[in-house]
Amino acid sequence: MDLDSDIQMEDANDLQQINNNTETNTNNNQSDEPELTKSITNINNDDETNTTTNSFVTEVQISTTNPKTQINTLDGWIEQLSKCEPLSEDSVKELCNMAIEVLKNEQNVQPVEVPVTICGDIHGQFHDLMELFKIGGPCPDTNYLFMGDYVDRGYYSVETVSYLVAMKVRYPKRITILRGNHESRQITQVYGFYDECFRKYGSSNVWKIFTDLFDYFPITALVDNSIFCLHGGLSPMIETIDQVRELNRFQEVPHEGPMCDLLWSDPDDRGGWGISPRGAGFTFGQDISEQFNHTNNLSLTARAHQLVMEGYSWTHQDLVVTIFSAPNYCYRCGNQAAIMEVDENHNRDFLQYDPSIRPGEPTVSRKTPDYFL
Amino acid sequence: MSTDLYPIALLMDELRHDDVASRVQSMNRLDTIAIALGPIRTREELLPFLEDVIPEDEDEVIAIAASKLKDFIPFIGGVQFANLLLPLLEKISACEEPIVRDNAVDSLNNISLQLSIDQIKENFIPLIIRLSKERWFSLHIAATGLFYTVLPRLNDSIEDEFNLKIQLVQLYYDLITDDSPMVRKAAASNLPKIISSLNEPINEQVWNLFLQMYKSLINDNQDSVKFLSIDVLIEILSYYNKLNNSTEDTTNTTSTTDSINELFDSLISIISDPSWRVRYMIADKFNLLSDNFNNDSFTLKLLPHFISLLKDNESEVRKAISKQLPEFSSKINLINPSLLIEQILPIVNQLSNDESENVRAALASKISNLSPILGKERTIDFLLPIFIEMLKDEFSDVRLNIISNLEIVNNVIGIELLNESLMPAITSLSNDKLWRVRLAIIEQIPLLAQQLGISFFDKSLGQLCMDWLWDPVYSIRNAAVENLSILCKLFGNEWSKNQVIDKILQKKETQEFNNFICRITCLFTFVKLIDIVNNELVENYIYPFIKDLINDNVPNIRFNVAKSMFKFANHFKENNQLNIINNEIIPILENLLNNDEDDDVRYFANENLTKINSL
Amino acid sequence: MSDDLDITMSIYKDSNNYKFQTFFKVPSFDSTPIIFVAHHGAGSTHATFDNLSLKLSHNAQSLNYSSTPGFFSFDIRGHGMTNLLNDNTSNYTLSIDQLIEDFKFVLSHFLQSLPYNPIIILLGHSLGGSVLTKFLYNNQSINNIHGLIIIDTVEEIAINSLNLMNNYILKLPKSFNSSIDAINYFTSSNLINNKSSALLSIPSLLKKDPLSNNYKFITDLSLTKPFWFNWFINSSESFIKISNKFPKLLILANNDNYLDKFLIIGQMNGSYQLKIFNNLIESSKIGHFIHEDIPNNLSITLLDFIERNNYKNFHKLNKNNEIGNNGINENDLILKLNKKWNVQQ
Repeated sequence: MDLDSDIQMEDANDLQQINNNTETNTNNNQSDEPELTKSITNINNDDETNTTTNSFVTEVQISTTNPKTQINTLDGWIEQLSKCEPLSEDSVKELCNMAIEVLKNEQNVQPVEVPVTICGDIHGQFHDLMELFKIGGPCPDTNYLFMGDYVDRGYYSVETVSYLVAMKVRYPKRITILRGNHESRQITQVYGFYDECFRKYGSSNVWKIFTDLFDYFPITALVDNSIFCLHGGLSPMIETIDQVRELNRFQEVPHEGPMCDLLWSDPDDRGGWGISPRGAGFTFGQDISEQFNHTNNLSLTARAHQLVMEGYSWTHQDLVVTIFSAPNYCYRCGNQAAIMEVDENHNRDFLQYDPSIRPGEPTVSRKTPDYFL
Repeated sequence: MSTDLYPIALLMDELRHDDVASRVQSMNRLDTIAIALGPIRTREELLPFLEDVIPEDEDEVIAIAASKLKDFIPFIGGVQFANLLLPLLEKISACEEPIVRDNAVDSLNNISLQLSIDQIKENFIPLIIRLSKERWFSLHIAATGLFYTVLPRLNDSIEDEFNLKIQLVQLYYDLITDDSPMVRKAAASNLPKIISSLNEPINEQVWNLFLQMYKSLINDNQDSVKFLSIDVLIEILSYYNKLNNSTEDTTNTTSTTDSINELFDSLISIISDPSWRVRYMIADKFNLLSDNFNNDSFTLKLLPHFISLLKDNESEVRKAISKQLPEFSSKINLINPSLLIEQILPIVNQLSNDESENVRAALASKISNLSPILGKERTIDFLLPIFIEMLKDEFSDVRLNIISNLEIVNNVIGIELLNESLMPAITSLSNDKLWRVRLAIIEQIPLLAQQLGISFFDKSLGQLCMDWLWDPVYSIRNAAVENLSILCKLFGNEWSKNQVIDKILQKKETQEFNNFICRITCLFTFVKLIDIVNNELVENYIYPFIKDLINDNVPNIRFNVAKSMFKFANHFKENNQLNIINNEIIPILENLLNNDEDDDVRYFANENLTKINSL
Repeated sequence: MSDDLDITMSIYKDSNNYKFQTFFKVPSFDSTPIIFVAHHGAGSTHATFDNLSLKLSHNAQSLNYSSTPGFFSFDIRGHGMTNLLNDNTSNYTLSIDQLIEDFKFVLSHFLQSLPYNPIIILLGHSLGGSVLTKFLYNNQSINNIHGLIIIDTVEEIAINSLNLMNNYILKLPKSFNSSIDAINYFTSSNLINNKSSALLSIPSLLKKDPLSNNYKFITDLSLTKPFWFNWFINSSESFIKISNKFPKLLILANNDNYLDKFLIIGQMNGSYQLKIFNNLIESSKIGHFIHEDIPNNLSITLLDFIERNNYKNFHKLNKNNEIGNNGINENDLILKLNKKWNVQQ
């Protein structure tokens, strides 16, 4: 693997810090102090320890045996992550184990209550995720439904997905996280998450832990029996929502078939079903949406997956809405982002927003090849 | 007595301790030890011991010794023995660490003030000469700091003292033109102190040497030396001005005028120096310089340079000159008001959009002071549009500085007018498309409220403050809640009741209250007020309102009610209403804990129940 | 039977008497033949695709596809044998418009020469990708075209790297003692990371100088400099604006961060398929000439692409030579599904 190729300056620093930190971690592991009180003091002292040691991956001691302890640990992790500091590898492992316990009991069509705020792709744009919470309100006071694609492309996939998973474990009823087509082993190897894990942790272990967890993510959600939410779109193999419930979702996203389609398909101006130019999933026309919404007594299908310049976009005469929540996607597309608030009376409000203001935003610097004609 | 022997032995031990901290500690007790030893042993044992041990120690230990010696004269038996302290301090002043050296110089000056003129001549001046002639730069730097206490002691009318004075000033000239830029820098920065230490009239021979020193400085090739010439210039000018005020001698005045003209030309020659530090220094001292070139023709000649500094490439220069704006503008205004309008104000307008946020912030802190100079009409025509633009500035210090100084403008144009002209801007900004602009305005409201007073506030901003509560963006709603709580604190209970509590209660009767966000915002607003308004309002309005929300359909509301119960419990405990806690709050939480279907509601009910029980 | 023997070489002469050397490897087919029509990049020749073409035939057969696609390529103006065929070998009017015009001529001449109506898949590398993109963008009514594949054509990256091209050209040796020296030069400087491809492609770049007996480049790239900028400008926007009825595939070597704004937006809208070869073990050995560096992997990607989009005419056969390696015929399936969903076609 060619690590030198496209590492940003700050990431290069990160890399160095990891190397320093692996030593600290080993030391920590040797000292045998699993007690809760100590772990909490550690968390509270994060600020100081970070300024002095400039440690990159901070070790938060964990204990998951008793529920009270678990909550304190999670709160510590969430606080650390909210500063865009990734967890240690051990913590990630522990977090994902807890997450499996929560997610494996969720349904393929996870029921969600109103009010809820529905969000689209995030793609590792951690600071914009924080902006999203500034716009929509903090969780748990506000309920959230994320429709996948937390990783790849942005520079902070690790922090982004760790944060959302930690929130999910801490407040399972307040936040729902669906699977997107990027929550897959194959795609993350091409679009950055694998490389980022390798850079930040020095091995692919964390990538493995997360991609194993992705298999447990629910693939669709049903908001108050009325809004069908999923990452991509409809599948010709799925006529009723009950058919989604029958799928075995605990697997890598397949190359074809209904589960693949739900994560890959796009609505299209052309009627009927069509081959998707993406190379996976299908395109579906308004006639399909009409039938599907009618058959399943839905008011709306909400999905993400496509970049829309205004952050949201209605298609199929308001039967389908696309929501995209990564502003200035890839730090270069100039698009707005949006989220959709659905209140308890099913009123819908869209909130659009621009990239968060932050100093030292990674600038898009790309290696230019010597030869290109 | 054992105490006779103990301290010196202990000190010797401690001063040889391996640990620097212990050595620092014992050095800090140096005066106590000297008192214990008495003058004779201090002179005969302590001082030689220190001379022996100090030069080899760590800088932080030496620094303490250097400053302790400053007050040592009484401990060695009085001023007649003061010269005994000089060799030790001379050694210390050779140190390259600036803190140590400065402490030594400081102590030497303190001692020199107490020395007799004979001691000065016999001991102190030779010390200065040695330091100045030694071939080591840090000794030269130390020497530059010693002249200003000695020179005024030498009487011009006593021949040998006058000769010594001339010799010292010539020696200082050597230091001003030293090979080492660090020495020149030290000499340049001590020169103003030396000039001001001498009583006028200064002997012409001495004075000419000072003028030569100034000339050498403004032509120095190091900008870090050159920029110090500005302070020297100011000192020279203020000497001339003092001289002019105290003498009627016309011949003298004429030659002074020539000198001042020459000095003015020298200033003009470096006012657009390639080094920004030099320009910065001029910008920073602009009004002081202009005060000293005290006539209209100089002021008018300075105007184009003032303007070019306002347009300087370097933002630090623009920042410094921005702060000089009102005072110089006032001078120009007295000479010719149209120059202010035509030449300065357009640049002010440009500066209000400067690319550097620090320049804008500096301008914002001073621009209001232009208002009294310009008067009412021109303030309205020229300044208010700039204020309104700067109120929208993305950098919060800019907005803050504008709003903090509105009172000055208020005094010129009156609150009615200020209100009238600013309100449209604030109203339009309060609805800005960008939520961060709205946030910026909300954050300045408490300050504005203080400046406007309650009646103007209610008339123009009251509604706005409530409207922000219903903003679509959470951060704005949150800031609105915060803002209202500050206003309630500022304007008191009656205002809180009429302007906030009643309005929230009215909201409850509207359709919008069916919306979860509206309810939770009302909840947050009231929770914030628990610690701010009086018990009557809490008990009769706030608490019942929140208690009503306990059966809300949305769990997020219910667990926030549960969270608020701890604050209520705290409040009622302070007001000795334990019955409410025991009969209502605890049962409410217990009911939630046992019967609510939502995990988070039960969690927060339990958490707050535990906290209340530990009250 | 050697694959090489299938190649038909013809010279096409346009209305200005400019002659193009073309190469056609005929398809094997039962129903409608599928033919790749390829356009090489600046400084290359048709032979840059030779190894890929071999692998396409080989894999179509070994993976048991229903037919073997044909492969048509030519040396573009000022390049390779085309340049040698014409009198003025230093005529480098290589404006983008001229190149599009040339391609239009060559393609129509080729189609007229065929006794059947084929499915054409356009395949361009680098400048070739840009030419084909702009050609298709302006000629979306040509019926035979059923797809566009471009290899390592990214407008923003190309334009940014133009500055570096001068250096590259200056560093190129003026001549080589032998073809082998030239091949070694290209492989050792990591421009081409696959020797068997270089053996096929590099000799076609050179001609023997009768005076010195040295081998020199046929094409003087430095003369094309005035046209570089316009070659690439607007290519990404055109690519994503080509109607979705043409399946599009963009192939990149190893980093999706190469995509520029239009290509990212297009990809995120699902307007084309993106294939990146960075999860291969040898990914560090993939450069600008992806089709020369990894012809085998690339050929499988291309076969997948035409199978997915032209299933009726091109698909894998199972052991009994029956339709469907996995029992699903996507085109038929779509017809069936649309019928099931009562879609009015």
